[in-house]
Amino acid sequence: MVLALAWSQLRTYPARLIAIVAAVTLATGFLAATATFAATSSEGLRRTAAAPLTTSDIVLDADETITDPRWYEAAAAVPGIRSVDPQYARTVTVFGGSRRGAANVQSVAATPEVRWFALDRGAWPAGPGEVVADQRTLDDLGVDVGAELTFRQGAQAPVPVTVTGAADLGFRPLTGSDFRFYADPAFFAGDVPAAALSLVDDPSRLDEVLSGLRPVLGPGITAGSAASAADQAAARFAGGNGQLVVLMLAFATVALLAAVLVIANTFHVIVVQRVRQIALLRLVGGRRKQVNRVVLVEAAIAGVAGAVTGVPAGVGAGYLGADLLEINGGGLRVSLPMLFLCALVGVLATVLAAWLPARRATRIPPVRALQDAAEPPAGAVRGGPRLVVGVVVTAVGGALLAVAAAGASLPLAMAGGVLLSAGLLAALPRLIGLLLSPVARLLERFGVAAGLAGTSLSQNARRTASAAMAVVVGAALITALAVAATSGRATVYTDLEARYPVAAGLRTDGTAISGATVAALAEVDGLVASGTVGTVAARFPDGGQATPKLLAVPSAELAERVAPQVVDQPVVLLPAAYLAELGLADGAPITVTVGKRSLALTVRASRLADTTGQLLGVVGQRALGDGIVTTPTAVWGVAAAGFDRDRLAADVNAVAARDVQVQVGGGITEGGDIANVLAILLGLSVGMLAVTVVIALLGIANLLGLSVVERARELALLRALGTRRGRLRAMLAVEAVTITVLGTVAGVVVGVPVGLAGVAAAVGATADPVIRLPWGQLAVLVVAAVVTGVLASLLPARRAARVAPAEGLTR
Amino acid sequence: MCRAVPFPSVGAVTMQTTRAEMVSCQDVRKTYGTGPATVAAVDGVSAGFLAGEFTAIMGPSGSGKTTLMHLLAGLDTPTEGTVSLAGTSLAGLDDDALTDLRRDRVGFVFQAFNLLPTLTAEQNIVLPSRLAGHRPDPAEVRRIAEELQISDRLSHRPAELSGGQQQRVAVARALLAKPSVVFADEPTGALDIATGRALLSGLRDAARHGGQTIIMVTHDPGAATYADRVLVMADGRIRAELRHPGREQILAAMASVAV
Ligand SMILES: Nc1ncnc2c1ncn2[C@@H]1O[C@H](COP(=O)(O)OP(=O)(O)O)[C@@H](O)[C@H]1O
Ligand SMILES: [Mg+2]
Repeated sequence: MVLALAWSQLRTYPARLIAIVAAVTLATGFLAATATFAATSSEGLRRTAAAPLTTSDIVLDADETITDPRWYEAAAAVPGIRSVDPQYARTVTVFGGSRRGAANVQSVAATPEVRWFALDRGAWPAGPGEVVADQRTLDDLGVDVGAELTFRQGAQAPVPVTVTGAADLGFRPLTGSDFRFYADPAFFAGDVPAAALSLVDDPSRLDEVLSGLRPVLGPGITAGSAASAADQAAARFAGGNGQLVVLMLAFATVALLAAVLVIANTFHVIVVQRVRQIALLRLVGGRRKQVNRVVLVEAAIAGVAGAVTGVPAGVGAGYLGADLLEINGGGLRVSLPMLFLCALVGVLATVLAAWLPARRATRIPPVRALQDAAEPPAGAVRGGPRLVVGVVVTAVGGALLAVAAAGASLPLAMAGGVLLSAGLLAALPRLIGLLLSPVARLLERFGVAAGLAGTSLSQNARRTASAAMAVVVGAALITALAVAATSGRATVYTDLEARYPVAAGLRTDGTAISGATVAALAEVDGLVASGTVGTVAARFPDGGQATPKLLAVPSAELAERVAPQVVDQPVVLLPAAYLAELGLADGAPITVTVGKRSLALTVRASRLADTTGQLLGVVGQRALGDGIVTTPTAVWGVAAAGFDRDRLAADVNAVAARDVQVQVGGGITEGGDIANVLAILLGLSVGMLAVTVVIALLGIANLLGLSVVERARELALLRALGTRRGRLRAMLAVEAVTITVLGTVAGVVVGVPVGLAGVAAAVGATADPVIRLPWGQLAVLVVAAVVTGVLASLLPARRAARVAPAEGLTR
Repeated sequence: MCRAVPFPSVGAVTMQTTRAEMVSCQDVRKTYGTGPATVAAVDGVSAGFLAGEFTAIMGPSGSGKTTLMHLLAGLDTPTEGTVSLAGTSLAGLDDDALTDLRRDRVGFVFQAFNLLPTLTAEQNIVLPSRLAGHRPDPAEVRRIAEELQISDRLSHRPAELSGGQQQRVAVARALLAKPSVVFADEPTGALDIATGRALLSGLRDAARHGGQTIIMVTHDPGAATYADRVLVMADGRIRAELRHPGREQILAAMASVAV
């Protein structure tokens, strides 16, 4: 009977459930997308990790004790071995097109069968000066097959190479070096290969061959089947997709939370509208438990509908995500139990959301069925214990956050954040409810429509507040992400500026730096000063690894700016770590030997000595005297405070890309990783904005739609009394926008401190937190709130405008 | 045998009979509000309702009729006094027991909003039995529907039925489960005369032939003439009891309490 009753409700009022089904669809979709993305991308990445091992039969591994570059040749003589191909790898700096960057170069096996990818275009490399590249590398460098590039390994001389072909490897590493090349073994002349790949004549006799092979190999070399090595490589692969999956899960959780709020609110409204029906059910003998079950079964049916649409949509979206990142090499992977779990979570969340409304339904007294009286307004909001508990929990959470920020403890900050959110979830609906009366009074000043809207909102304060809560959750998250990203970036950059007096430095390995490069750097926008630095080899007292090997003399103009201490005094600036190693304090004497001459200098610790890419002793020209000749091997640039880091880095790299002799150092080489993470945070906050807008739209449109049905007589009466349609529409728009703006403002108020505390906790230990608010994003958020509100009111407003004036006069 | 009896003689009526009392109340009071604003909606009523007896409760608006009916049906708890229904004292029953008692022993018919709008007429009729976990006998449903002339309307939803048809569906629901007591509050209030009379005959038949106790609140003297006895209330007390009264006696009794 319970099922039949629930079903009859759903069949009679399907529109009421659209918002519920949509919210569940979105939330389960998110979960299923995360699950699908995780499964598909790990399979893809696993395949990629194992791919180079899938074309051979035996893998030989040499450990670091092996120094013979030809260690693998012994294997070729073993009976049953058909071929042995050494596997080389180097990390180089590549110069080409308009960019430079780190590149991985691996060898292409000489035996064609062992090559694990096919070329799409061009030819395999046939000599030391030839490479093939993966298509994405070529795209990123902005070059094509036939291009001439320069490779440079460490301090060795640069070598020119030609790109002879391109392959589409169909995947992109999520981390690691930017570029990937594959070169002829001749390119690696002199290297000791770390591994070798071998084919056997008869794969069915692999074990025999292996046991014949092992005695031949010296100590430090192991041999094993390639198949098991491939499995191990795949298994060793530890999620490059891990962070993305965690972030997606966090999003799915927030989407779920917002959905729960929307669903709870919708059910609350439904129960209020059905008071008499529920009372009648109780009157004719429905027990409380039965009433409770009717509502919960309804929720379960809607939840199942949402999950059934959400899971396939999520699977599609998750696969698409993996496809976009090109980590779907293993094809679509789904785990049916996982998807079932996603659906289950969606349904459970729906039922959970309906829990309180269902409880409320059971408390409706049967006698209400007999009372003709109009429904009492859904509830003026009073403070009550919930407000007190909420405020207390919020305060505790806030205090924890403050402690965490001061002590730079991320776990404590997380605990504080959770408490704060829990407290706010409890307290905010009441607070917003209490705010509504003053808001209504304010709105009255803006004319009749706004006044009516305000009255309606404050009379249904509880409903209005819970609709606003879905907005609060999203807005708070977006704000926290954006604030964390902006302030985090400001904090890191301010810290870098303080720690790196030289923003950009280009240096050679000892040859005189090209005048063109010096001139080009001087031209770079954003550098307020630049100048050459002369260096000369020098001997410093031994302080282990931190010992400088060069004395550096900045040009006079540069010295004035970055090292005024050395201009007139016999002072040498040295790395703090080096001085600590020697046990020297500032002002201590030191003797530095250059050639046959000894210089008696006074030490002072300075970041200048170890933040330009080299370990230096920095002195003034005067202290050096005239007898020592230095070579200008570097050029340093100083930036204005608050400079645009990304732009300066791009400009300096462009200069460096034209001079293969130089390497880049200084402040711009640091902070990139953190900046990337923060940029991802910022991007995610935009993605979250989209989800929040959709859920808020659904929730508010649904709320207004229901209230239009409920207020049909009131609306008709207004029309009969001469209210124009436009005014009714305006009234609903004002209601919706009030909800979204209230929710957004509350969300910003919550999100800003959470974001700041997060930054303080994450980087506070290493740098003084700098508070910078993303005003632009916050403005966008408020605009989005207004637009969402207006959009949400469109459909309900149309329905309201269609109410005939006569409906108000009939019963 | 129609005479106006002053209130204290109600006890005598009870003593005259040998039939069991299906519903009874003893010195019930129901007050609303506190302090000087206290209103006694029902102010010390003792009455008994026999099995198979059709009683009409009349009185001016605000005299406490509805409140008394709610107290008798267990929908409201008295401030003082006791109520027993079908041999069970309502005092101290928990909600589930009270609900089951309503479901199994009590039927309701009201002026309006008798039916769940999302269920068909037939689903509404069988609702109490289904809630109890029984499968009602389809032949019995058909028989009652035919008697009330709603056989061709069973698959319709309330919105597709006229007021009279809705009312008869409610009566069918009240009769199907063969409840010991049927409470009706202004059941004819929204009906035209002919439909109203048909409904009242239905209730009278249920009392005479089905042995069911009918307690009906009405302010329509015409409706009250269908009853075996009429209780006239004023200011929360029963002021007169009439047995098989005609229209005239009812009007006279009403006029006497209206002062
Ligand atoms: N829930 C209530 N709260 C306060 N006063 C009530 C309530 N219900 C009824 N009353 C008062 O009790 C008195 C009797 O009401 P009621 O039983 O509805 O009378 P009737 O049905 O005879 O018109 C009236 O004065 C009414 O105002
Ligand atoms: Mg009444």
